[in-house]
Amino acid sequence: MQRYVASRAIDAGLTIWLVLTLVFFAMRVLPGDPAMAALGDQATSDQLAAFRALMGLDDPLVLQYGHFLWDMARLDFGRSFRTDEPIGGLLAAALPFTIELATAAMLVGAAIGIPAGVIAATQRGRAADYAARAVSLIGLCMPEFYLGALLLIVFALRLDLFPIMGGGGAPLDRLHHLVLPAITLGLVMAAFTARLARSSLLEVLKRDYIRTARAAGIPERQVVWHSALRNALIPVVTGFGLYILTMLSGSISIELVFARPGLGTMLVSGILARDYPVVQAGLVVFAFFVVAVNLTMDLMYAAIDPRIQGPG
Amino acid sequence: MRHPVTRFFMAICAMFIAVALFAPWMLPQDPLTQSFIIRLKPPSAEHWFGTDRYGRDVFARVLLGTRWSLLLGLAAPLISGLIGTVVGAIAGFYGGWFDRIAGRVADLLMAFPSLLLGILFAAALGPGFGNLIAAVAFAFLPRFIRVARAATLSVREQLYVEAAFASGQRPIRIVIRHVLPNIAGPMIVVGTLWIATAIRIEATLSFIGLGVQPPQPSWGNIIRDGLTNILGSPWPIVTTGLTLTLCVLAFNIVGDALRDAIDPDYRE
Amino acid sequence: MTSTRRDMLRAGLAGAALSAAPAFAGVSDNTIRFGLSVEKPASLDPAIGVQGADNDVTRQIFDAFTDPPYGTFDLDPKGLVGEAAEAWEMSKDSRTITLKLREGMMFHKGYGEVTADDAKFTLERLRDPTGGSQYRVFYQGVDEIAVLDKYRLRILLKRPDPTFHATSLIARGALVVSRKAVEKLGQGFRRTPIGSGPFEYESYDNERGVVLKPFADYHGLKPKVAGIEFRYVPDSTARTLGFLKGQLDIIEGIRLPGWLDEVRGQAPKAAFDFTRPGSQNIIAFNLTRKPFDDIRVRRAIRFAIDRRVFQQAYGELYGDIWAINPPEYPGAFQQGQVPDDLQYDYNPTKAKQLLAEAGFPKGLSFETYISQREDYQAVMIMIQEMLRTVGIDMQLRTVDHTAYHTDNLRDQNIFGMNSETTAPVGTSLLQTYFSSANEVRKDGKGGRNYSHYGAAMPGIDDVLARILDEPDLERRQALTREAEVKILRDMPAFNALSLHWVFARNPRLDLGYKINASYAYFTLARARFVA
Repeated sequence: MQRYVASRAIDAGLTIWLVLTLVFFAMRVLPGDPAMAALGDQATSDQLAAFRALMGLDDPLVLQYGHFLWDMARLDFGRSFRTDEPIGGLLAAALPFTIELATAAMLVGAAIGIPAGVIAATQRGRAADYAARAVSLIGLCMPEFYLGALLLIVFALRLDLFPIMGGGGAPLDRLHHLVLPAITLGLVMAAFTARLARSSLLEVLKRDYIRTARAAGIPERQVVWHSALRNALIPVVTGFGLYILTMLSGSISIELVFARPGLGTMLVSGILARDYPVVQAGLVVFAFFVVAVNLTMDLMYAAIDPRIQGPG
Repeated sequence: MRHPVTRFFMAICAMFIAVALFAPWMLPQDPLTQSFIIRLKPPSAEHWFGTDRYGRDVFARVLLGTRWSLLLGLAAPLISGLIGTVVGAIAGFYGGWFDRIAGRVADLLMAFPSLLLGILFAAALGPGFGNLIAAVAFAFLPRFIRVARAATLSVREQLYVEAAFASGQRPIRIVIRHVLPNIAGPMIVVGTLWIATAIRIEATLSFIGLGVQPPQPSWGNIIRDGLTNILGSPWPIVTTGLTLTLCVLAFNIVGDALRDAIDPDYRE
Repeated sequence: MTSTRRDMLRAGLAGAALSAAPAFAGVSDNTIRFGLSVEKPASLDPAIGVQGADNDVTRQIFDAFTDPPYGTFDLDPKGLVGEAAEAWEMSKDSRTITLKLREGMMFHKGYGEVTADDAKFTLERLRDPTGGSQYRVFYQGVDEIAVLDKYRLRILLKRPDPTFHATSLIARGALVVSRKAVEKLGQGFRRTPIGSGPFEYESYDNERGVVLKPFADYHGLKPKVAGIEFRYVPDSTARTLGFLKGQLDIIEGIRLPGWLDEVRGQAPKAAFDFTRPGSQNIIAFNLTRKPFDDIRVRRAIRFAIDRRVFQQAYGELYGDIWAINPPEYPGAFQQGQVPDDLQYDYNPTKAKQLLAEAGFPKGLSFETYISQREDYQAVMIMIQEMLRTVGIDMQLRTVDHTAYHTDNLRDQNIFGMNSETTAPVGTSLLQTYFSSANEVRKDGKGGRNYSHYGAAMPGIDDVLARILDEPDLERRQALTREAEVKILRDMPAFNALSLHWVFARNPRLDLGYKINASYAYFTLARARFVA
């Protein structure tokens, strides 16, 4: 077990290093001039040259790479080229919006997806099953940003129930701003969850102990909701890791639709403005999430399934 | 493959491919012609999907956008599949340090959602359709390498490969004659499964602003443009998004059916 | 976008608010809420301009030396409004300016009285080549600045410049800063600006944006509002909706076809302020590349550009251009004043005929690239369509905005556009885009004369030299028009249109003056809410 944990941790470290390296070189081959992005398109060539020298953009690539790794190791993300703000502060401001969104979407997804999956499984082959499967398939195929735009048009523009865009200020206002994006992403999540819950429950319902329970005359309702569901949920819960990551990448376009000032918005506006440090920081944080989620999942599996030993 | 629902969606896929191939000849009107008198109109008999802020016909633009979406949807998995097959087959067949590095890198990158990798590469390569294909192909690469490598490992253990070794054939010849034909099946299956995802990623990247750039129409950027004009008319978003969803749905269903037909044991 | 719980309740009660016209009830706290188009303030130091939207804020915090009468570009020195300066005088030879500051003006937050030393410091900072000043070009003609006494200073110019005040002493950079504050705060000055204007900086947070409050010791008329909140709403739809819902009193508008109609459709009572002339959209033919080395092709393209299409598309955002300088600039060509054959009214027949003469009877095709930025794209997409009707197939490749400018500066483009807002002086555009001294160079170290005018063919260098030595304003303007006529004849580049900046305003908010012409920002010192 210890060896397993150690090897996963090494993998996690390697992944982070790999992504850092990819990000670094990706940023350096990027078209566009970060100096001009920072100083505006009316800047003179002297000003641009001075900026490049100041930011070390003229240094040999290896040297820049070394500096970059050292900074990252100290969690020093530097300052935005455009606004000169420390990126740590930008991240601290943006992250809560993304985390709130992901958490809320997760709850919405579970609240809708699990019951839908259970109903589909118990009604297998009947209308409810087909309906649930069809809806979840469409949910999986519909790009998040399209679903978000539709909800925006109906509930914010036409019915005026929710604020159009932004992240909100005071806690209650913030919650109000969270509803539509969370429902959008939550519905996509629900589609995943429902599918998995259905197939997992169907499998469990075939098992011997369920047959025994049924034969013993325990009401079907209790069989499904107590005995079977508990076991069926294990793959659903562990599958959450995959969803979280899917959701995390889905949140980028959702944040754009609703103009939420989260991590995705920060990353995309950084990319479009050629603000290297911001893009680097954004991607690294995303990568960190991915690695952290995977590591947690692996360790959870290991804890649940004692067979997993040694180098995986 | 014989299920009526599957057949229906096969017909839809065929329709999208036909549109992609023949779009320039089937446009109801010129997708570039502007008219400021008829801008931001809702759908009508004349303009099925309404008009945008320049008074251009959205339906014609969606038809043209189909080309980009399908071209990318087919090209990215194809390119990624070809490169992935070669790298995976070499890694799996020869083993050694190349296998360890390629396998490890692929495994590590597998952890990332392909959209996130797509954004990373698209950001690095910059705007342009060729770059977009490359970005999405890169994003898929780890998955293809992994499948090809696994398939190669299992082929390697087959008796006929052992026999070929025993008869003194050169390794490269064995790879070409025995390994590649045998892993082609699973690779095609995987490739088909990724078409729908590729179309989705293209739409998302174009929506974000990293994909197909206006004035070239693509489904993603038509929706983005619609969002900045949402007060004027929501119709470009609604109609274009519907088309996009239908296309992804159709390729998903057909891809699944194809997998079941060719390779019933396939597990992602 | 941020809003309070009260806003939320109101929004909830309003029901289908967007089907009904907004009430423009305004918020009862007498505070102006101003929606800006950027994510956050970048630099509130007026010398360091990173993004245009920061000027909307700094204009309220700082005093200019002088300014044209509010809402105009009337640059007659006698009619100017004095802000920090009380009196000003240009010598006969147009080489010496003497400024007298108001006495007893105070800087915000206890930074003391405004003196001639602060004024000199302000100007020196603007011309400092190392300090990152955006406005350095306007001060290149300055020879020396001398403090005469506590309130007076003298500016010596290297050459006569009767328009010096128009470029260099108005609220376009020339905003008086406190030397003590700049020296003490360093980089921090960008975030906590200290001026002597009607409003002082109070705070910045994500929710309320930059908050300004009236400066109690202001030397002029006290503001009639309780404060200004600059809200940062980069998303154009969100900004427009914030305005329509009454959460924002003024917003930066969106200069894209159809936006005015959209807002009017939802809110017929909304007021609009157009800051004319706005940005100039200069499109340059690369004279060193085929087919643009042929004057007939260049003129054909100019004849294919239909001003009416721009007008239809942009409505009141659009401004006609008859030569190079917009008609709002003092001394510029007005409609009907250029020679008939250089009027370039839309004439597709003539365009096709010129193309045929140039050897392209069946039309021609070329590829050019364009910035990702929406305003650039909109113009080029319309031009693409206009050219198509005369048989020219212009293929547009879209590139990142900074890459676009970098490549343009490296002489890569053949039909590139530049959107620029200049000072209201006739020589600005001529020098930037038409002098051989600013010829674009392959190494990127040249200027923005993208057409190579004056190098690939004789240009206006001689006239420009005469203009720059001319002390008399009217003769200068006449010479400028002469140069413009020559440009129209040679057609190395053209100004396709003026695109005014626009602000949508709650009709209950009265600015205190009417805006006819302005840079892209204006003072709110006299603004008040009316019933």
